[in-house]
Amino acid sequence: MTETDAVKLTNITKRFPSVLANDNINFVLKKGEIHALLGENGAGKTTLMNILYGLQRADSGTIEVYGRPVSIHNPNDALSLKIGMVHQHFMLFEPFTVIENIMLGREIHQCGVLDRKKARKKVVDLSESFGLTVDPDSYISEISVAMQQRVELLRILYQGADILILDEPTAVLSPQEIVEFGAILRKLVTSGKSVIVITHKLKEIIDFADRCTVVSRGKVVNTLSVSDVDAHALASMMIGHELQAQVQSHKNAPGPRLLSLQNIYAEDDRGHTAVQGVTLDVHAGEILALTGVDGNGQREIIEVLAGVRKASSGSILLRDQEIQNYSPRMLYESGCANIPEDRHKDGLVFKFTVAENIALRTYRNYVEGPFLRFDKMNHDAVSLIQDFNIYPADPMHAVGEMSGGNQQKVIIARELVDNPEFIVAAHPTRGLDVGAASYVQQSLVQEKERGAAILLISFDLDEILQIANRIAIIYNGKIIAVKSASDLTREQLGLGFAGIAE
Amino acid sequence: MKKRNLTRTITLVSAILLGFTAGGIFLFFSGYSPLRALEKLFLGIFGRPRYVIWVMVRAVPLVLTGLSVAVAYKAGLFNIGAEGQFIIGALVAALVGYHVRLPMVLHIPFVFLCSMIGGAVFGGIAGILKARYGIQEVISTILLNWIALYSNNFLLKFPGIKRPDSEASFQVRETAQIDLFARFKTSDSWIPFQMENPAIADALKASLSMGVFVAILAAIIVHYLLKRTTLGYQIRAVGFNENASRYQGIPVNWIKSGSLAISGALAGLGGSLHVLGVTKEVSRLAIMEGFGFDGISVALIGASNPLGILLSSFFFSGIRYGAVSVQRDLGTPTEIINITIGTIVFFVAIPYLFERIMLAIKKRKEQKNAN
Ligand SMILES: Nc1ncnc2c1ncn2[C@@H]1O[C@H](COP(=O)(O)OP(=O)(O)OP(=O)(O)O)[C@@H](O)[C@H]1O
Ligand SMILES: [Mg+2]
Repeated sequence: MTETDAVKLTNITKRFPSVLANDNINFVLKKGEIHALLGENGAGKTTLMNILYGLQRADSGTIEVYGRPVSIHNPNDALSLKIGMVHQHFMLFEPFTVIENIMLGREIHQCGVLDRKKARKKVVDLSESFGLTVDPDSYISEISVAMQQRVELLRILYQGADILILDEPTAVLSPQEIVEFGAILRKLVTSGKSVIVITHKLKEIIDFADRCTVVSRGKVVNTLSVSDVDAHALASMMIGHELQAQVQSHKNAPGPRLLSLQNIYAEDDRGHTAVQGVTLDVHAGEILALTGVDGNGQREIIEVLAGVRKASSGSILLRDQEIQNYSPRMLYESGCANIPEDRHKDGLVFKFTVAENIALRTYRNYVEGPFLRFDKMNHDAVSLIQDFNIYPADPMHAVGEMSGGNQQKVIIARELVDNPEFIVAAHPTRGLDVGAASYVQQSLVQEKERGAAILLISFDLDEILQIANRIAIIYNGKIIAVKSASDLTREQLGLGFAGIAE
Repeated sequence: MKKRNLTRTITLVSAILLGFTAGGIFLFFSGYSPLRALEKLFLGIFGRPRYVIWVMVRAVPLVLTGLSVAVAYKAGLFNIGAEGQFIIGALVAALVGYHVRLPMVLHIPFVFLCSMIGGAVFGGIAGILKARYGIQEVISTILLNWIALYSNNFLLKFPGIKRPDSEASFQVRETAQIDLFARFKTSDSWIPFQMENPAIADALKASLSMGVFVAILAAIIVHYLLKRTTLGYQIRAVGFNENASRYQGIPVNWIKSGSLAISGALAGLGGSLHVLGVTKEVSRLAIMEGFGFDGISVALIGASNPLGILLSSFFFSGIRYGAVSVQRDLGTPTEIINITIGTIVFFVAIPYLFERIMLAIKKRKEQKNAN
């Protein structure tokens, strides 16, 4: 142990009733480095970081911060040790402004009155010195996800954090935003902060981390300097064997038009017209990617297609039949599947088991008189658990107690199980490790080749370019370009994200 | 799972101890011996076989209203209206029990059915108001309680319903009464039986009714309803995550209205059992009797679990019944007993609420960190 270690975790073990999430983990974060933590879904990354942040207690092991042994019982302890954490799901208060969110819990008082001026100055100083530009007076509900993330970062910096833990921060960012994010991280470490980043994107690790630690099934596989490795080596280290070949997507000729959005208008929750006359055709046997910076109307389109949001005008045709007023159940019965964007809110019932979640759409198949055949339900879930490599492989496991990536796999298993004709896939690989992501992409490609029409909502350029046939760019609720995937370059996509279509 | 049950049991036991301690302090400062009161309370519940039976008989309405609150709660709804649904069930039972003539085997089930329908309609109204117009069930069920109370009082003004020279309805016919052994106790063989089996005879002196068995059966049915049936699956899904349920195509609004209707049916059955087994009639109500409100506490203490509700109803009914002995023997004023009971309920319910809130916060945190 030297003065240059910001955090040293020694022999951390954490057992959950069904799994050993952390098994004698040793981990060192050096002062002033960006340290990437990577590993398969369910490897134990979040658990380890929750332990460091005081959200969970280790069964055994020691934590040292700047060379001093410490015990961390709750996030307040962590904060007083200058440790801050940003979770993948942000914890901001939407009706409050940026500055209010940042101040929350650390208000500066002057005889009991909030000293906004002083707080504001501190925030502005912080954001200038790290390039975290935000408008302090906007409401959270009005700013993009990337901006919200900056607010989260500012908040922990404001609280005085020197050791930053970021759990999958880039999953919600568009490519351009990721580049900016990398620059921000660099500035943070040059000013003496130390950063732990959890990510599944190997390319990012190579781009902006100094060292990385690979964990697998709760154990550390290796800690190494990023300059010594390439993405390929990292991947095979993580999954324990060579990554299979890239996703094979034959650019087959698409079939007839299957789903058609015609001049759709829709409002967002605040009553603004978020979708402004979108017209799109998706053909059988094609993957159409709808891409653009988050918050440009994608969410509303997804919800309209799920039957939970009414379009204010326009029509939706499925095989030339109007389905605008279909309920979610009718949509499902006419062969539509929907992988929602927010798996916590829309996708899963956390207290239900894996099997019960998979059956949310198909439970009518198990009805016997008034009863539901839970035994059959569990039985059927077992094979899906195997197909999609869901871990832990137990149909009776509560979904709320699974890792983020495995939760996503449960949704995908449910949606793809009975050969849908039309699939809306919103960020289907968000939060998945490389192996799982390529499995899901391969499954989507298979569905397409089987003849399904797929609308893929994503801003992962590699994913889009690899599996999409055509790409539509959305900006400000309008489609500004639809092109064949082979005609588009990354640069053009980048411009499209900014609303520039030539 | 196991661990959580253990902590819950510990919370519950310590809450009960705390409650009794607090009650004891009240008694002490009013000049009564808490220990003697406790002794009397215990003897008042378990001192004679018939006391135990009485406690069970009096627990019957609480089991039903407790189950009623629990079913709605599983669907994420707070049914404050068990009180009104109970009143409607009782009123219907009194009317159908007197005005309809059927042989016993048909009459009793027919009264049950009608009361359940009455309660279900009453609960269902709140459900439809919620599902259709988004009106909070907490508000609408409170208002419906008053409507039930005044409907009861209003109908009891009419000749044909009101028994002449009384404030009550006609008594239900014998074919609709559910007491057990009533005949036996007035027969000739009763006296020799009493001599030979004093303990059993003592137990039989309490007016044991079919209600006890119906209540236990209802708890079992609700257990299976929630755990094993399609409807139970839907109710639980909606209760845990309404958004996801809607997104996945579960008819959320139907399920909500439906669960409130079932909830109403259970409370209505409670009213029915109370009339057919105990009161035989309904009277003008100056205030709410509180069976439905007690059901909320019962469901809370019983963790909305049918078996838990059976136990908590017995507990609840026990301290109420035992308190009568304390009052009679020690002369404690009623208020003190009520304060004591209130304190116990408070201490039992608050940690449970507290635990739920803590759990919810923790869960939310964990969910947010699940990645
Ligand atoms: N609250 C919990 N109760 C029980 N088991 C849990 C709980 N949280 C996590 N686990 C289990 O611990 C293991 C590690 O989970 P963790 O969330 O740390 O994984 P992760 O590496 O962050 O994965 P991902 O990349 O999918 O987010 C998983 O098998 C998970 O099922
Ligand atoms: Mg995680």
